[in-house]
Amino acid sequence: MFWQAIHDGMRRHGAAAAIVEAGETTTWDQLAATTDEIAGQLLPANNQLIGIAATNVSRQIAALAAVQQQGLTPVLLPEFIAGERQNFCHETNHVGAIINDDEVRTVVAGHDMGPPTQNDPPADGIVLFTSGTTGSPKPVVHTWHAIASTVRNDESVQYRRWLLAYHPATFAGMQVMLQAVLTGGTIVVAERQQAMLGDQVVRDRVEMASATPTFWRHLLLATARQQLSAAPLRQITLGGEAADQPLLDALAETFPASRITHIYASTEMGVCFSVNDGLAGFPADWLENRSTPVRLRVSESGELEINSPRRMLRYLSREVGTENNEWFRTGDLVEVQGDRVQFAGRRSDTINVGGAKVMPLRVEKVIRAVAGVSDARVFAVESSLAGQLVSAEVQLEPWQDKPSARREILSACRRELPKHMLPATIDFRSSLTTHQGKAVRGA
Amino acid sequence: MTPEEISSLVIETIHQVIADSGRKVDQVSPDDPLREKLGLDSLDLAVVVVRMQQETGLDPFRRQRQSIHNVENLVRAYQEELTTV
Repeated sequence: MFWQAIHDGMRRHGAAAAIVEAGETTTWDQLAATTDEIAGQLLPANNQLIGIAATNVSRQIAALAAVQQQGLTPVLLPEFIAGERQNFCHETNHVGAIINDDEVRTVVAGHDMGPPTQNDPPADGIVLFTSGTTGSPKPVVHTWHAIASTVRNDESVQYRRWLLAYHPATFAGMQVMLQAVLTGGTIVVAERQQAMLGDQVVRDRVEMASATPTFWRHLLLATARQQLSAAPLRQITLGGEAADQPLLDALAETFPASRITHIYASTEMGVCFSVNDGLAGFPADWLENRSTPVRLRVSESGELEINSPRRMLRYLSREVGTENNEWFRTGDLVEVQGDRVQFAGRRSDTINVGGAKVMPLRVEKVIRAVAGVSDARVFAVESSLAGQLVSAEVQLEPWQDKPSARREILSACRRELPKHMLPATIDFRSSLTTHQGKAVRGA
Repeated sequence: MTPEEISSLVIETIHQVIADSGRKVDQVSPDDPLREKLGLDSLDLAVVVVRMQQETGLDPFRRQRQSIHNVENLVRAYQEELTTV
């Protein structure tokens, strides 16, 4: 269906733009030709995974279509998982080829592929990595059918211009590409420089835009409202983080003609629900509602749990726990306030030391106040005896030495914090762990 | 890692955890009771175990809950883990 859509697009739109990226236009004709070219370089074989490591969006889309056309299973390998990518290709003996920007590199010839195993993805499979905001990125098996099942295809969304602001090799990026390609739309790849985004949205006549709340905040901060209101935006979608009320209000004010939606989705769970009433959170009567295909509930500890038919089939690797239970713990803490459910933060932010809660920010504040400390990140480390313990990563000023910094940090923590909040381990790093520009708290 | 090495690593880690809690300890002997003599509570023990796990990859408490009263019990738990891995 994805690859057929590209050939349909070629017949219907031919020389029209399918993708606009960094000032270059790829037409439907060119996209279909690249798809055929890549397909011709792939050897059909059973139970084979094909890694897609193209950084160019046109090339990635053509590669996905070609792999699907040949009945093979694509694995999207974004560059931000470079380490996992190496391990993945090394450990998985079913990677037949890697498609990058310049070539199709055969890793294992078709006849060398081992016998089918129960670990093989299904015929309709596609493998995506989780973003790794918490923990290391994990490969997740979906079916094309499931990830395309939320694509809208009514007249109001056909032949539109879609902004691709997510990384193209992530679940969210795939949703935008599928939506655009399956409805004959044009993909406008977002500029990397955030200061240019406002200009781009107007210049490239973006009509549909899906991005994180952080993206939208930046856009509103960096661009004059008057300029933005000239953009022909019809649909604004927020996802990947909780959308707060001030942001939703500011967007509604700036783009009065746009429909504003915030969606709840994850790589593992797929698209779970979308909210269109302009309010943060979601209606409380969606909880415990048995009539909808996606079911929601709140656990005793306040965590949102979801049961969705669009969830992943499983993690690809056998070692990673395949959670077979139907209810998926999202890691998002929620609070029911009247008739609304509001998001209260990530569970992984809270460290649970033998039943006592520790908020990382409180510990980070004490550590940052120590002389010679330039930054600190506090997170949970798993403990077989206490459940979790507090762990710290610390970045020092060049003049500060580690042994005395360690002594002073511990002494400050002992002075200002209860014992269970003291860091059990302190690692000194030249830079702190971040993920796509944000501090990472998950253990 | 030999049983002797793991034994001295356990003792060194106990030393460090006591020092990190701002107390002084002269010597740690195998038959010292963890709580009564060394003043290690269950949280301190959890810290010792996490640091040992990071240092050696071993954690005898993942699989079973031995009862640990003194330094020797703890050393033995690690030595047994060493032979079963």
